[in-house]
Amino acid sequence: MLKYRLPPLLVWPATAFLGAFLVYPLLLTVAISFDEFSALEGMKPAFQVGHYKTLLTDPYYHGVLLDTLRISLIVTLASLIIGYPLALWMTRLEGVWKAIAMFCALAPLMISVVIRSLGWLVILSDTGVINQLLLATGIVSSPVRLLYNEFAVIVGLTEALLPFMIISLLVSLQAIPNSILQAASVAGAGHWIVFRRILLPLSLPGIAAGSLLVFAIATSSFVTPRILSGGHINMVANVVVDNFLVTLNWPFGAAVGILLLIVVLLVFLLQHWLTERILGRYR
Amino acid sequence: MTTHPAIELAGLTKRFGDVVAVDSIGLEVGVGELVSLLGPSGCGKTTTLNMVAGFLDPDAGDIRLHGQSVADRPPHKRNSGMVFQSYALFPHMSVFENVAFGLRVRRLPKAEIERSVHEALAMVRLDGLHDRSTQQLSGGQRQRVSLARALVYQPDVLLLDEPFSNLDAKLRVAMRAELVEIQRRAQVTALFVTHDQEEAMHISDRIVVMNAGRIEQIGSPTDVYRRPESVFVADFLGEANLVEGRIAAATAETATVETADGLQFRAETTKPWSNGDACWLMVRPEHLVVCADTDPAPANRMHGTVKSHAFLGSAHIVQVEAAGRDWSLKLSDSEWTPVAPGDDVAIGWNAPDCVVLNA
Ligand SMILES: Nc1ncnc2c1ncn2[C@@H]1O[C@H](COP(=O)(O)OP(=O)(O)OP(=O)(O)O)[C@@H](O)[C@H]1O
Ligand SMILES: [Mg+2]
Repeated sequence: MLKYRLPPLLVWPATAFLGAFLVYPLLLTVAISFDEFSALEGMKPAFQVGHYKTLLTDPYYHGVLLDTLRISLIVTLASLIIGYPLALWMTRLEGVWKAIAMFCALAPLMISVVIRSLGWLVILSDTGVINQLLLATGIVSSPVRLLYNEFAVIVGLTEALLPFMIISLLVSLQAIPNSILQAASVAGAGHWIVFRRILLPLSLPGIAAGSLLVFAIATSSFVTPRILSGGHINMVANVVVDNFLVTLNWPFGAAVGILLLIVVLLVFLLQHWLTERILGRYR
Repeated sequence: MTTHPAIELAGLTKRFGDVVAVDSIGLEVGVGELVSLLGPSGCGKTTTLNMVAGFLDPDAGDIRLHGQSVADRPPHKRNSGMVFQSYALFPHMSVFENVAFGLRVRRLPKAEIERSVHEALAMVRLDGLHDRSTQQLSGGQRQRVSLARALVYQPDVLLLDEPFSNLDAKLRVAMRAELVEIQRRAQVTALFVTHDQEEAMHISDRIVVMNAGRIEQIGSPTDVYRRPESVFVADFLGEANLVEGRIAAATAETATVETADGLQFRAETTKPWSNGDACWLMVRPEHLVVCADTDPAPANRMHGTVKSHAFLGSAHIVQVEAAGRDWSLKLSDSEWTPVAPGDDVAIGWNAPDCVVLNA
């Protein structure tokens, strides 16, 4: 296939922007992460791997990393399971209804995370809607603890990141022509086979993109975990923020950030490998 | 055992809001027959086919395949095959897997799948391409994969919705002949949707001419072309010179049609007409001839003036103004005697060559 060649001029602004605001800060962060730090003297340029050593040996940071990975994974799966049927249903809508559904799905993005987390505080608290309902129906006799734990963080993050999953899924689901599903169905495939052999593999790129997006944003979230865990759970990004803003230990914070980046890149590679393998099985 | 038609539509109706897309149509398609649904855009062909396939639920009426009502069966339980205008191949599967799909769904043994797929690919002359990705195929090859995919599990009926309209003109014609041959060999009953009258004439055992959700006429290609039963059918299939008039005299076999300005034409007819009936007279351009004064007069003859002439290669199209209206003549190149615009000519046609239609 012939590729249309873009004039090079068009790519310059993006290149310049990425260079100035992504590559340069990234290199700077890498450099800082090797610096020395002491509470009295602050940062001192150096080249030592002490921060990385601490990160990899201290059980506290292992815990933070595992918590982060577990929470992010559960959030990713939850938003996939909730988002897929929703996105599939949205592709069936037409005209105004589609626009309305789209607005409802994406509206959460227009509200700040802080406000949404505060909303969950109200809903999940001991006197919140859910507990009132459980108490009133007699399912429980004393309020269930829904807040300030991992559950609350997962609920809050899933709600916050669901739109990203839905957008990714919609893009790939909408690209599947109806006639392909009809062709499968006439050929004798029931709903389950159409889903497993046609819909799922054809929407796999959307699943992969959405999952990676949600996972990456989840691992780097810090407002929602802080508010909904009441400070009990520290995710990786909380450690970064604390080091940069509270203890002013920039080198250590930078090292944590780089570690997080490496983890996300590894997950990306894993995801890519998995997608290719799954698609290969259909050929 | 009584034999049932392969496809039976009875009072089939589909509405979309206020639009009656398909209006109580009835049709029987015999086993092994190739029947075309032909009609202008929006007349309900696709809607009818989609109801037979099971993608749409009829609002009224019944669909029977081999005598069994399938109206409340989902598409995957109707054992039909379908070929789409857009090919609708599974993009993530190879040619082999595309064709194998219907067999895998039916859980046939591996060896049998392998054999059937290769047979089907050979039938559509694509043997050797089974490893290809469908993206690496030309439009004609894709449509043949799609045909193989629909036929490989020996469906009771084959449904085709304008399968060739995305192909270029030459290939489209070549594919017609190929489809007929494959359909004969597979001995499958086929329902073919098209808005191309030449395509329908070329391939069909019978043609169902549709208009605005209704069936106008069902008949063999010769029937619907030579003996249309309505002005719509006469006009939709090929070219037609149409003249409005009334019956001036009628016997069992002949009718004399008189136009508003007093001209009389004689026609042969099988329908009983009464004097004064409003009617249309239809004569095909290829049945009009330019006659020399010495010719034994055809039953209907007029003098007129040549208005224009165009040469199309195999035929000449001549417009003649006579009796206050334009007549279109299609004259074959081998019988061509040159005329030029402005020439005075006599034109005429024989009584059996024209058709009297209900107004
Ligand atoms: N999903 C739908 N919703 C509303 N109206 C529809 C729908 N599908 C078809 N129609 C209407 O029903 C009528 C018949 O449509 P159909 O697609 O069967 O026509 P067709 O004969 O296949 O035409 P074409 O040659 O253009 O494909 C049209 O008036 C069309 O606008
Ligand atoms: Mg159509």
